[in-house]
Amino acid sequence: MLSVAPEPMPGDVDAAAWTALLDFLGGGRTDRGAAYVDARRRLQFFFEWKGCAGAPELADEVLNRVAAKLAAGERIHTGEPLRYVLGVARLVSLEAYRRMGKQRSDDGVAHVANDDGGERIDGERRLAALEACLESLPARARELLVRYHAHDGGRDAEHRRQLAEEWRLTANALRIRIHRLREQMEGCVRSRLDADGAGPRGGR
Amino acid sequence: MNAGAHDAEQLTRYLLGELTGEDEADLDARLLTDDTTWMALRQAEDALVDDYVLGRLDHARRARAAARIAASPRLGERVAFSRSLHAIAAARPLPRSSWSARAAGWLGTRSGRMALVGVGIAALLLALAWPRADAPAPAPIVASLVLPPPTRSVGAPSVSIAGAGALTLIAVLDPEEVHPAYRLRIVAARGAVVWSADRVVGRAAAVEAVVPTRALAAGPYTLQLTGLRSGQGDIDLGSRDFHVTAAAR
Repeated sequence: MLSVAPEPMPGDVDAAAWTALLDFLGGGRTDRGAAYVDARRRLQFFFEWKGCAGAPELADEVLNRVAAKLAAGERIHTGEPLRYVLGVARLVSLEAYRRMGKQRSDDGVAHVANDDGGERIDGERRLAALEACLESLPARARELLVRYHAHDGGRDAEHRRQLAEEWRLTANALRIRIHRLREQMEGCVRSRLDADGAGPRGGR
Repeated sequence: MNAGAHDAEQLTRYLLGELTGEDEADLDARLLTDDTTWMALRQAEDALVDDYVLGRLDHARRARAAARIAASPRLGERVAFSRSLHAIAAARPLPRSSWSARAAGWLGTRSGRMALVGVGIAALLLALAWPRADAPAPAPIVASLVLPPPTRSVGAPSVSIAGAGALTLIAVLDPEEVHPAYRLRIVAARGAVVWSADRVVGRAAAVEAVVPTRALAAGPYTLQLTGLRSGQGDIDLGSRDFHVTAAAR
């Protein structure tokens, strides 16, 4: 079970609303904080790929509104809390498009200029951090991650099939293993860069 | 729709805003409520970021991806990570390639072992009969330096060279810079070319060269990079500055 103590929500959400939100998202689970963190992460992803700037803030806005409704005593009848959350998210995304003075354009993007994230960080420092992180992996995992990406950037189907066979994994299990290793390495690189003073960056 | 029915292309279309109506609404809902789809979308994001970094998207898709990446610090970080990962994967020697795995399997058979013995005997006889040549051993690698693309560079990276040997120089490329082969020239501050190499084959998004350290005294240098395109003429890929802060000659 993930033990998470989410930060207090921004805005005017009081403790009662916060507890109501956790109860609503947790649905009787004991790891209610994990349910909140998971919902927020999915919402951020939702807004990012809709092309909305400030996705973490928009995710917070959605959860704040749901919390406020719950605190006001509104009874939300749904078997799946996140379906209700999605309805609020769609509304917030439309408002975001409107604020930015445009409808979704042909390419489905309503965005404002933003900094380009990690590109500001010196590439050499990032490479050094990733090298160090790779060294912290067990040799077999490191070999898998590097070999997966060394051959045609990981897009060669025959190469992936051979790797899956060699590691005795199904194709799907291989993809999941690679994804989790990437997540682990990205987290490690972020920690190292933050520790070096290159970060931290918001919105995760 | 069953989560398993979402193929990679459909997930990519969703991420790039190319789905509309029910298809988009269905994936919106599954993103939030279905763990399998949530995992599949994160994997699709991995692949899309890689395709963006490796220059594999057509113009329209690249523009859509770029707009979303520009609006999201997290996606910007993911792009930077993907660049680093591919640069390292391209530069690292592969521990065991697929052909070597197959060769290892074949050598495990009786015929494979017999062939190996035969080759060994032939090699021994050849070695005994061959005139002794004092072939120099490859210079040991005493330092390495990674040069980011000019547009990403904050300043000129520096390297300290400890001992005589060779420097591994890795130039990370922008996706638009990837070509079949490259010409590299290292130019000193006064304009003298101190080292050059032609027809260097890159791997993925990086080109790697081994430079003798005797060519590099302490001081500022510029790596000039040229893309060699068969039948299309060469293309100037710009230069990367770097410093050698201490050099053992």
